[in-house]
Amino acid sequence: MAELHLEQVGVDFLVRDLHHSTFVSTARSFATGGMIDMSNRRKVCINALKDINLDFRDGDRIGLIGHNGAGKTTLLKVLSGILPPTAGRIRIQGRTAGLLSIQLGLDTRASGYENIIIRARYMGVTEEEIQERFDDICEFSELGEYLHLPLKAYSSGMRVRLAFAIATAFDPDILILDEWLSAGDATFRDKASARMKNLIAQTGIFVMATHQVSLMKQMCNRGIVLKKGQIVFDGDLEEALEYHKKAGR
Amino acid sequence: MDGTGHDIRQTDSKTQAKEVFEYDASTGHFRYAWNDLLEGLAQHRLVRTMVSTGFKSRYKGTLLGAFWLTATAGVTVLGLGVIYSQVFQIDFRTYLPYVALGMMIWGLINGFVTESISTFSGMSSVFTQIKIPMSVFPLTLTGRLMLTFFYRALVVVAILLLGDRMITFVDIATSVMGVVIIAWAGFWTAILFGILGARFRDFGQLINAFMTFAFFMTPVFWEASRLGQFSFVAHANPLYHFLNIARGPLIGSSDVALSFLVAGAISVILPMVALVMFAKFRHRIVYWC
Repeated sequence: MAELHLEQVGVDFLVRDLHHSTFVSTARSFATGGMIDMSNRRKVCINALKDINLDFRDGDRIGLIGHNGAGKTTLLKVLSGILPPTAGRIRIQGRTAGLLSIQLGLDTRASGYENIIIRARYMGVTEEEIQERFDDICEFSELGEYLHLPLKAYSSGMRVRLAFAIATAFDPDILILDEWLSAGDATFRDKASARMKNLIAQTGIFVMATHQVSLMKQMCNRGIVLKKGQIVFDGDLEEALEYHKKAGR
Repeated sequence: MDGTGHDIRQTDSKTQAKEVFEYDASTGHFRYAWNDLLEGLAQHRLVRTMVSTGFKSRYKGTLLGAFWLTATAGVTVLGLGVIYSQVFQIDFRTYLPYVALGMMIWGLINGFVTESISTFSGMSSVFTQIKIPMSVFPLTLTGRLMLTFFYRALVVVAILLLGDRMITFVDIATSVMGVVIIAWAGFWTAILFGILGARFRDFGQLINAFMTFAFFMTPVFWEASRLGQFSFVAHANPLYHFLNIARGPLIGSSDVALSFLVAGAISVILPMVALVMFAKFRHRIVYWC
């Protein structure tokens, strides 16, 4: 049973003019007791998310729709537990995997085998699971003897293949994707696509943000339209896409 | 095993572990910070991996490997020993252990103070992309600096073996305890300075400038007793006391007890300050970096 609950969640980014973000300005605003807050003029506050209320349950396949800067990635980061919101409450039940950056933690000087363990530990999976899935990862990456070599000897395609194999090896209860993951040449891409679909089928909740409408129609059943950090539509995917299209005009 | 330290309970075991992650932006920050620390400790395998891959990739393919640290330390210490025993007109055999221990332990203290600044800001590519307890980073820093210290300290072992002073087991145990206190204080410094360094960009510059100054003001390669009536300059310096708890026992300093008292007191206050700061700002770090 996976469950995801967001209540009145808000995220404010405070962009400080670096030039003024110093001890002096802090001391000054402290000294003036905040009455004359000189630094305030130099601060820009961005409401990346505002009053987000969401309830995701098992079987929900959510597509996030919105223009650039609508808050899609911010919301995905909040859902992944990376970004603690500045307001509101979150409750997530189930193991979450936010596959936002699959090449993270890979060490170019370590071998392929070592990298499997490094990356898996970054993902926070247990040692037993790493043992269990190790052979599968090696086999899926199709790297064979290359796995003995340091990563710097790999082509960029091979690196992505390894990263993909590791990132998709451990099935979570909640899967979060910023963009559709794909890797390698045409044949490998088919295989990767099949693996992604299989992984999504096994997870309770799936959340994805992409601009590829056809892909979203294929994978999702619920659409959420974000506009300027707020949810403007939440419901059936087709209707959500329609709503977004109209609003865009 | 889940990522950041917010409330996590496991109701099921093994592969289908059910975890609950809760976060409320308005309350409970102290509890979240505490859980973050526990989570970081639970992820010791990740910490070890981060320490060893950093170490391995730096020295992989080199002739001496990590023993380059030992070699570098050896050359520095010998050079200083030969020159300054002449400058200060002290016997080489008594001066060498003094300066060798001084440089090694100062290196450790200096590492903790200066590298603490980028505890979090230097790792932003990790925690902005993946859910991970924040305490993993100060733990990694502590691990890395202690490992570096270990390799460099091998020189000291050789020097002490060749030296003419008899060293008892108690001396060694006391000194090791001193190093443990430095590591403990260093871990909390990493949290405290890491937060300040992430928030204020001037903080790092300030600390770097200060530590260069502090190196000459602290009796690392010169003896405090030579200051005569000005020896209070050394004793008012907390860094001297941290240096002395690890060096003093092995060279027979008379003021080791006082240093343990001062360093001990700081080691109690520092975690409290760091913990309060961590609770207050842990959730903001990701926004700053």
